This record gives sequence, structure tokens and C-alpha cells, in this order.
Amino acid sequence: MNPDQKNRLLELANGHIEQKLSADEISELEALLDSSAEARRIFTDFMHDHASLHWDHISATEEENIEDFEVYRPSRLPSLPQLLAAAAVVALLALVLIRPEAAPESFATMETTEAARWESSNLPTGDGSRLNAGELRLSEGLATIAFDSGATVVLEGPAQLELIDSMNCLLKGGTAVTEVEESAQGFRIETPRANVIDHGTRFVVNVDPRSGATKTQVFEGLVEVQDPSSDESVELHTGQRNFVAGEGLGEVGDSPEEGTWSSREDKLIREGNWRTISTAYGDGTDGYVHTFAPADHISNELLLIKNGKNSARMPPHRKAYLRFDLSRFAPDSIEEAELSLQFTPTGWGLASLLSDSVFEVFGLTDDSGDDWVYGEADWETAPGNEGIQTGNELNPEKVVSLGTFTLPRGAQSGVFQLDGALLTQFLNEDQNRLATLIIVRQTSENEAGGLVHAIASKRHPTLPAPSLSVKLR
Amino acid sequence: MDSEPPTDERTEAFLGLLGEHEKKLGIYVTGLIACPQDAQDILQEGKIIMWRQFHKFELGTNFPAWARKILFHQILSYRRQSKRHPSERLSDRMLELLSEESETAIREQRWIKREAALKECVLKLPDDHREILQMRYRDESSIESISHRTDRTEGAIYRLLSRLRKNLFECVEQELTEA
Repeated sequence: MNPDQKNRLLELANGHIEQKLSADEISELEALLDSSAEARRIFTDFMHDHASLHWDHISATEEENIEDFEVYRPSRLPSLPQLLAAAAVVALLALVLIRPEAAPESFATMETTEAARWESSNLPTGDGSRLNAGELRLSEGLATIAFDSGATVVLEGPAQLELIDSMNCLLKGGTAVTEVEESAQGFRIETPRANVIDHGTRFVVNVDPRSGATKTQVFEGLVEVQDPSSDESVELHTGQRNFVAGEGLGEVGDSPEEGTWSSREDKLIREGNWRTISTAYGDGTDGYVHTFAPADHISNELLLIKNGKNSARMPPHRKAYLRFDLSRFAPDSIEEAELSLQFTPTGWGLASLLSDSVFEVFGLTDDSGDDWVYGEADWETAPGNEGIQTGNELNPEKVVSLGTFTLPRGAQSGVFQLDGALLTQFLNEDQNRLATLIIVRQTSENEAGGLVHAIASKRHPTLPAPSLSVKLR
Repeated sequence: MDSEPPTDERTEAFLGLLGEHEKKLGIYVTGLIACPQDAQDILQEGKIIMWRQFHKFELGTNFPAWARKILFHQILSYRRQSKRHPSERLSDRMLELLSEESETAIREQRWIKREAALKECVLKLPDDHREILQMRYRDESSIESISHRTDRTEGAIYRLLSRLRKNLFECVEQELTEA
């Protein structure tokens, strides 16, 4: 083959790989390959390079599989048949023969993150990671996500964003500042209450994670806010904003200089028969008490919980105290109740020293103790804890157990909830309409140095405070 | 024999052989069918046929050669089911010639050195070019999606990939002559 023919052959081979050849070009390639064994040699080797590039790059998982199988090579481990139950072999065979799911196509990149802390996301969160459809849960910090379409979303934690494709995402809660290039006009942010469709612009959308209420404000350009239930829509121009909370679309107004994007949660939130209050509501508060602790292992923002390993000296124990203001709910008016606690990692102690952690929630039945003061209550004087030396017990005459919940081993974040008849009964029977709940960890560490668990308090700048939802009769 | 279920030992032998040769088989199919996603489908179907036919395979003989025969038939039937018109692809006869050429390359162990040289050549690429290859091969991104990510036209990406593949081919040939 002369160099020109060879160049042409490689050019056609490239078109063949990209499946871009016309019928004429296919005939030309076929004729070239027919003409000489050398041409077939070159073409086969060229195609082999292409195939190797593919299989070597995707082999990250394939190789893991191969390593798994190595132990099953009879030549290496002749005694294996006796060791393996028949069922295991069949299961392994199924694993090999069942079609693996096609790798989902990525359509966005995690461009940068700043001081970001993630909760259980099912997507990679490292800078530069490629993203496919899935959900991101940012508990704090900023994350910039560049969609291949040309839209860039800066997520401000706490926020929860579901990526759908390169032109669509679903903001379930939190704030997303979005900049959209011309190529991505029509980029859409869905929220539980509205669809925000961009027409080439920079704008911000904020969603209240509890109610789905959606605020939209345009810095520059044009944005359309749609009510998905009625197909009605409003247009927002530079400097305008809109708030969708109840039925229908809200008014279009001018933007304030400094908008309020995060609800302080010191209000009573209504949704149907349900009412939600946090420890920030009314006379509510929260705090924790501890035995001794390393001086820097204290926190104003977190409610720490730990049941240390008992030894000769008293280990560091911690118990969390919550007080809810029930003044708006009459005794016996509550049909169901649910306590929600946002756990978040502390970085103190080792998770591996703990098994699954069981937490027990107690209600303080001695109403005279409900006037404890944040910052003043300590281990010796905290109501229900007087004279107690252990990390998991309380004075049985002053408290009643309301139930337990479990954090799996290794889990340190996420929302954990407690409900049930005992909690409802306790809230209904509380006489002074101030309910103190005490949370202890029943699980002790296997050896000293185990994890300190933490719940976001009402003073936490970003995470939601402990909250109590009640369904009224 | 057909009705007799394979024993555990036989199943393990199958899993062992498949694990050892799967990647090479995937490369063989991809070389012939060009589209890696199609190749993965074919390999998957082929694995099931191999398992069904495994009682016919004589342990101790050449498993990959046996498997390639099954896969070649799978390639032909996959192409027949394809919606593309026959004029839009190479003929079955040409595919047979190319498969024979592959068998020669494997017999001569030509591709073992070739793969090592290819790795060297990829490492020599400038970072931005290697990234483009990664997008195409590791992330399996479409040319359209790469063009968005790199802010270049689709035509430019197509030409760049074409040039990169050609340069790699020539680099490998160079390495092999020097060695």
C-alpha cells in the first residue's frame, strides 16, 4: 500500500468506528480491504487499538470481576468444590450471565466544591467527577455543577438536587443559583410547587424543603415560572421575583437587596392537619449535658450524644435535651406525632468502634424540670439525670421511655425519626405544655475512643433544628 | 448429555475460563463490530450461548478459540437483526476475512506486544488529548457531549479523534519496529 492509500484506509476506518460512513464510503473501504492482505492487517490492527482503548478503560469494574473469579479457577484451588455450596456457584453463574445494566450516561460535571459536606448522595461528589442521573444532598458549603448543555448550577447547602438530564433537574430543597448559556436555553428546574424555565439568564431558585414553597429571583435575563397543576405561567425579567407557596402562582415583585433564602424555622408550619414546630419555636430550646470531655470537643451548634465505655474512671458521656413548646396544641388534641432529628458527623471518635447504634428517647414526666436553661443545665443538675453516672440511664421516677431508633454502623448523618403511641400519649398528657425529650445512646462503644454522635441544634447555621410534627384530631 | 445439568466442577471451570478470557473476547468482538456498546451486547448474548454449549467443550483444549467461533456467529446474527441497511456495513464475506486476520494476529501473538506499545503511546499524549480519549472511551461520551464539554464543534472533535487514533496507530507501529 502506498502512504496515500494507507492514510485513506485509516480515515475510513475512523469513520467506521464512529459509524459515520456513507454507503459509497463503505464500498470504498470494502474494495480497499479486498485489494490486499496488508490492508486487512492494518485495518484489523487499527480496530484492535480502538477495542483495547475501550476495554482497558472500562475495565475498572471488569477487572474487579475477574479478580473475584480468580479464586474459582480450579487449577489454583482444587479443593474449592468441597468448600463451596452448590447454591453459591449457581449464584455466581447468574451474576456472570445476567446482562449488566448499561452504564448510565453522564451529562454533567461536579466542577468545584467549596467547604462542601455531603450527605448520602448516590453520585460522586469529588471535584471533576462526571455525573449521571441521581440525587445530590449537600448539607453545607457550595457545589458548582456544570451541565453539558451549558447550564451551570451553584448549589448552596443545605440543598437536595436530583439530576435528570442535561436540561432538567429537580430542586427538592435549598438554593440553586443558575447561569445558563445560550446553548441551554429552556433549561428547567422543577420544584415540588413550580417549574422554573430559563430563557438565557442568571437566576436563583430557593425551595423550602418542608412545604416545597418556591422563590425565584432573576438577576439578569428572562425566566418563566410555571404552575404544573394549571399550566399557568408568569414571566420574570431582570430584577423581578416570584414566590409560589399556596395555590397558584404568586405575584411578580421587585427583588429586595438581600433576600431571605433560608427559613429560620421559628414558626409553626401547617400542612393539612399536620403542624410542625422545631426547638426554635416559642419557649422551645435544646442542648446537651456531658461528663468531662476534651476541651475542644464541645459545640454550640450540635447536640452531642455518646455512651462511653465504662471503666475505672468515668468516661465521657453525653445526652441531648430537647424542649418543645406545645402551647398551641391542647392536651389530648394530638392524634399522631413524629420527632425528626438531623444527625451530622462530628469527626470525633471512631465509627469502627461501634456496632449499629440504638438511641432511646425519653420524655420528662416531672414537669417541674421543664424550665431548664440552655447553657446552665449540666450533668449533675439536668432534670432526670440527677445522680446518674451512666451514659444510657436516667432517673426512672422522672422519665418515661418513648421508644428507640437505630443508626446503622458507620452512618453519621441523615434524618432519623421516632413516632408511635408512646410519644403521642406523652405529648397529650403533658400538663404545662412544655415537653422535654432526652435522647441517649443505648449502644456503648466496644472500646474507649468510639464515635460521638451529633444532632443539629436550633443554633446550627444550615441544618434543620430538631422538629416535632403532630397531626391534630 | 444435553439434558444433564452441569456439575459444580464444570460450572466452576466455565466461570474460571470466562473470567480469564472475557476481556480478550470483548476486544475481539469490538474489533469486528466497531461499536463498543454493540460489542458488549454481543458478548453478553455469546456468554449465555457458551454456557449452554459448554458440555460440548473439551476441557484442556483452547477455550478462547472455541468461544470466538460462537461469538463470530453471534456477530453475524446481530448484524442481520440490525435495522441498518446491508449497504451501510461491510459484507459478511469481508467480516470473515477480517476474523481470519484476527485469528492470525492472535496465533502470532502480535497483539500482546501491540497492547503494551499502545499503553506507552497513550502516556506520551499531551494531557488535553488524553482527556478527549478518556471522554470517548472511559466515559463513553458521545461526540456531541464531548463537543459541549470542551466548547468545540462536533466536526472538530470528530477530526481530533480521527487524528489521535491515527497518531496512536503510527506511534505503536514505530514502537514495534524499534523494539
